[in-house]
Amino acid sequence: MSNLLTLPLLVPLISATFGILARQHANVQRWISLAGISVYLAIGFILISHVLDQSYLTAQVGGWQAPYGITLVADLLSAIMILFTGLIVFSVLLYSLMTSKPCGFSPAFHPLVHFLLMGASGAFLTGDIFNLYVCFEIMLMSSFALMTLEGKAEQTEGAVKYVVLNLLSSAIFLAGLGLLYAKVGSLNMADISVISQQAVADEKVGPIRLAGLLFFVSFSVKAGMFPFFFWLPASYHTPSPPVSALFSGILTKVGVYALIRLHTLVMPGEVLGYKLLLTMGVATMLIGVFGAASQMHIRRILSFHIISQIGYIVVGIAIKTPLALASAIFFIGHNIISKGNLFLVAGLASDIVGSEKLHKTGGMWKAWPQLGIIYLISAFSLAGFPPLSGFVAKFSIVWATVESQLWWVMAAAIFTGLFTLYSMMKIWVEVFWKDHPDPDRDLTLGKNSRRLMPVSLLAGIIIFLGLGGGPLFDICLRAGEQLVNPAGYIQAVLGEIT
Amino acid sequence: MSIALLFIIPIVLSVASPFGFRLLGKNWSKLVSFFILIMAGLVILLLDLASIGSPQTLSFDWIPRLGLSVTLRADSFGLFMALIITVIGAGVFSYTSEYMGDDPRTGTITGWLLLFMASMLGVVLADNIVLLFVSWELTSISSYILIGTNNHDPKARAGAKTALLVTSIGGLSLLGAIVLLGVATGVWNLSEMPAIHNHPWAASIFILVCLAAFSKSAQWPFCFWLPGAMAAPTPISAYLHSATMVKAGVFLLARMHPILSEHAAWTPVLVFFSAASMIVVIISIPKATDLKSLLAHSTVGALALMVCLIGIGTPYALNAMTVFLLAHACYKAPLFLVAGSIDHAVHNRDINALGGLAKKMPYTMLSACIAGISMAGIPPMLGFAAKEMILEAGLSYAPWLITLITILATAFVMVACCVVLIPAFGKNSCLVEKAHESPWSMLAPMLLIGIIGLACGLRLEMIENHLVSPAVISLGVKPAGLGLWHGFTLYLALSSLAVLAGWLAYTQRQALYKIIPVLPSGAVIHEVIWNTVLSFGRSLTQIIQNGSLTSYLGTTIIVTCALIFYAWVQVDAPVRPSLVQKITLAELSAGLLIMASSLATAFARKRLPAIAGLGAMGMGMTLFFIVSQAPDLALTQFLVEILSVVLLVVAFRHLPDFVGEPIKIQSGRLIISALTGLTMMVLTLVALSTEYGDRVSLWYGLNALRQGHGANVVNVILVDFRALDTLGEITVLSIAALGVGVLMGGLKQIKTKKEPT
Amino acid sequence: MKSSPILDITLRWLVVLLGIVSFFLLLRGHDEPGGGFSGGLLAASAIIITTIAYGADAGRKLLHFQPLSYIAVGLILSVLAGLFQWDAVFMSSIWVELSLGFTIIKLGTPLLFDLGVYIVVLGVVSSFVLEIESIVKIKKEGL
Repeated sequence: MSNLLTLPLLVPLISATFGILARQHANVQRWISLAGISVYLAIGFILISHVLDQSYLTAQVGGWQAPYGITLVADLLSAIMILFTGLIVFSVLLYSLMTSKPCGFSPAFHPLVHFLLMGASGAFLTGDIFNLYVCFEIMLMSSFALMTLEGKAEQTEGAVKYVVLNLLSSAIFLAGLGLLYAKVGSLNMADISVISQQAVADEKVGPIRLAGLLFFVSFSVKAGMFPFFFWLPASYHTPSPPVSALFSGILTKVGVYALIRLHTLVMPGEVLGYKLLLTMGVATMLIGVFGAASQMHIRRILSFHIISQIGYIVVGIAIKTPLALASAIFFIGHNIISKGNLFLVAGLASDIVGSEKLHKTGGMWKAWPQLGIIYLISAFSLAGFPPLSGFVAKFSIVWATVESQLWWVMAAAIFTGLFTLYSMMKIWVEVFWKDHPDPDRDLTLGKNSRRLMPVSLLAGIIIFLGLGGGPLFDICLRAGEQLVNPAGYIQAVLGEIT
Repeated sequence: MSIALLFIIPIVLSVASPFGFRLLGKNWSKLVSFFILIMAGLVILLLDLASIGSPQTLSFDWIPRLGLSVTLRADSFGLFMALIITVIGAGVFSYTSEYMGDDPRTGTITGWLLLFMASMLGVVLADNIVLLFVSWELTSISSYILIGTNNHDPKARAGAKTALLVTSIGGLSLLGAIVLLGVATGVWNLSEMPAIHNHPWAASIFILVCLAAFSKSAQWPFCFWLPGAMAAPTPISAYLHSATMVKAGVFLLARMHPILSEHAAWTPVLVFFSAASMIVVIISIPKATDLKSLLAHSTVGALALMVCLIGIGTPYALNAMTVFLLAHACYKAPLFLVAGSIDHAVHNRDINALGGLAKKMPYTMLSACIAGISMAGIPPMLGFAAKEMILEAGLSYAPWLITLITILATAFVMVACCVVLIPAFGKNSCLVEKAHESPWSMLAPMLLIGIIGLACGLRLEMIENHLVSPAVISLGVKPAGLGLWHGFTLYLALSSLAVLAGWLAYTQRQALYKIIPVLPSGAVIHEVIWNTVLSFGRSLTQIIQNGSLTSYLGTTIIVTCALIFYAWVQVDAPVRPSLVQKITLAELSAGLLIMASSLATAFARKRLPAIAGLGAMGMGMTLFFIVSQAPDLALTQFLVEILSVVLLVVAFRHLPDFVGEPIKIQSGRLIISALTGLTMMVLTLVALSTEYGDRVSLWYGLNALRQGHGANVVNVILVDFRALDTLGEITVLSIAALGVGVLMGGLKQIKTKKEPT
Repeated sequence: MKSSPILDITLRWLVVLLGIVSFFLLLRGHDEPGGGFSGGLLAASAIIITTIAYGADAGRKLLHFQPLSYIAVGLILSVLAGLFQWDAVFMSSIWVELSLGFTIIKLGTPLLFDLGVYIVVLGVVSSFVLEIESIVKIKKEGL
């Protein structure tokens, strides 16, 4: 049973490896890839049902008891993350299979996607902070390669900024690891939690706090928080649309995930007082949405929105009540799906209208109304309109701020919602409603209902997350309660050793 | 069950609409209209139930933890609204079928209209406040899409955008309001909600509710979006922007009346803003020349009256509001439909161009007359009764308000005259040639709805007993008697004055055009505010996201260092020199080697020396490992360094020689470097000053051979204790190889048939 | 490139020597300094030397299979090493001691894992040098 926890790592690894072996047979490779992600998705569902049953699953890899070996742990948060990651990767791969240029992708595409998936799964499941670092490296390396896949000059430029800033983040992470290991002599997060709680009691927590701060900075870079988000708008609009969708669904979310673990498990109390986290969250929210409102390029708008939405999530993490954490988790899930879908829709639309610059687009509402409806669903969801997933997410965050009486945060959240709507409507008006500036352009080329499959799937999930929000939010709430009381997690990892 | 039907029918029809239209053509809308009439019948049945005090309810959970459940409660006021929504809805759908004709968009428009109708019914029948909010937002979305029906027209797009943004301000405020309300009371159903005017949050809730209501019902300062929304096809304007959606704000205030009306700010705020809206309307109406725009302005005025009456808040005022709401729906919708018919027939809506249509379009003009008389407040129409009541309610508040209301009533008369008299009996224009009477499916709705207004006026006691009284009772106030004829009172005098003055204003409107001051329109101010915020956002973004990697790196490093120093001062992380080990000579030499070679690399102007510098740095690291007695690490480091130097040389050896500029020392970068060095030093010293937690390392040492079957601890850790890390690392390496393949071209896009390299 | 007999012979022996030493490093790694990683690096240096001396084609020939295939095989070996004990947690090790009379050979799944590491490292470094060498060659011919 505990091998269930290794499967989310092994399945992508094996798919990637066989993908490499099959690199000269495009079709074989694509089937391997699709099979791999389907299995992964199935595992995701099995995993979450087991975690719902048993609260925590652990696997001491190699049979070495924690804290000496590496422990894989799944609580509800991990399971939810795995599931949503699986969903978005599945849709992205489906999209890339349905695209009209099936061989437009390098033979490295599918293996790299699976490597990225492996890194993300590892990050979600590992209970070991050095292993988390390794997973970050896997993700960094594979995302860098994915970014440069088509070898365009702007891709390379964006990728260089991306990789340099993320390497800096890794270096900061590593510095924190060194400091932490020197003090606590352990890498197991549950173990660290116990030791640092002891250190708080002994009033010797200083070095741990400093290490925690280094982690915080490093994870903030990964999550794309203000003032560390530079790499994101610099690079996300350059790769091919499915890669953008993939990144928006995975990369920053792993950073946020790490922040949650840091804030709730690894560090006792707060890293620097929750005001810092809260302020940074609000600043991220506002600056991201301002950036989005001022862009005139589809994917640049969407990229800035990622940042803005990260702000909402961080606010939820900072407030740190079960409800706030639940809303943050729901928000992550919603955002993975909605934002990923917007990138995919943007890819389809720009493929047909021939540009992503808003003044060169138009005519899609008439040309392809189904795509328009799907865009509207995703965009209104992102803007937090009911009855879609974004509504539940935003509503619960606002609720959490009201419960904690953080009026300025609530005001910022509401203000951000308005500007989110504004920029979503900008894309809608310019790409869909407006006439195409070139009246001779044939907008039916590339229109193919097969290509609607992945985006319809995601739109369906968006509606499902909204209408079926009750039970799902309850699950998130259970996850939030698990996070607020890490004792269960620690017990599950360390057993009786504590 | 029947209450659920009110939602199931429109939603099912909405989804079926594109297909239904493809199948039945324009008859589809007529079929829809028929279904909606059935719904209206249902509403009447429910009204009966509600008036005997047992309103039907329906409830199931949605997101219980967030207070959200689908709780519907068919009370009399909600049903009163629902009746208006369904009856006028049936008329509008019937009208649409001929108005849109065979326009291929009709299927989708009908679908959106039905969706709108369902959400509007949700607004009025929701008992759960979150459900109310959900429906409220859905009306905004459907209104947005419907206003933008003519999406090729930039004016329609702009109107839709403004409408959505303004109503969203309200929507977001409502979101805040309901969460505050729910958290404050712990109750999520309107029917159970206590009065909360003494709660500390009451003021905030009230402000947010006002923002929501004013923006939805187009009150000052949000009144500008409604005229812009007239870019929609006329049936949509008639339905959404006069009869139903804009009344949602009024409805919300009425619902909040039992909860908030005891608050001290309730009456002054509502009366003030409604008075401001009335003034804006009074100024705007004489300037407007477009039929629909005239009607839109008068709608704002009518809504202002309703808000004002709710603000006054006496039972009598609420009675007046309810009657007026009904009267307004009965005359404004037909007038819009008339305007649409004229537009449809002659493709012109400018009052200066119209005239003499009475001969060609007799029935259209007949319905215009019926509705117009009601609007002008002339007996025996319902509009007259409403106006009398409004004046009476207004007098209980303040005489100046009466004056204002009277002037507004004057303006209404003028609008009524403009819409009825000019097109019907004005000078014959060249347009008359083109004019033709509308088909019955367009005529029937305007005539019938107008006649309902007339019938209501004539059978007041029936309306009072079955509609108005139950409705006001469910708002928590006592019903007041209605009467068409109150005798010769002051109000009758004022009424007559208004009619006369309105007639005068109509005849002298050319003069009015000249004397009405030109105020900056709200739309302009709205535009300016948005543009200011947006340009602020743009400059902020340009400063932050300036495209320079150097500045990104600099910011990240400086912020990180600042945070660490700040934290270092705050927390207890002392540097204890006593714990720091003495530096040995070997360590010192290794350190010096690293420092020297890193400087050499930084200042190297050619590639080879730079590579050599890097290699030397690596050797320094190797030396460190040797000194620390870690032969395994030293061996690996040594090999890695050699191989990377070799690879770099291989990569660069064929490139032309490159000589960089002499390195200038830039003070900014120097500071950043120094800061980084300093921070790392502090961190290192802190790390060295702590007692080393060595439980895990000791365990590794003890168990490598015993349990791991190997004497080399490092290797046992790598391949056994922490094999997962190693698996990860070789994965990283594999990805790197793939990446190099991608970058160098070996794995770039391949074309099918060709042999990949 | 001109060939010199001395270089030829030295290289041939050097390559053989590097191969043997690298394998030796791999095998002894569990008890003494060495292991799959350093072994793989050393083995890869044989490819590098050949490539520098005779060009990418010679390097490829010496490698026989494509570097990416090495990588894939290495990864599969490493994963397989962890899956040996199907009912236990991933990466649980099994050790067998073979007595050959004069010495005892310890064989265990970690060794197999290390072999995987060795092959991956060999493949990765070879792919670096071969890719770089080929692109440099293309650039030069293009000039």
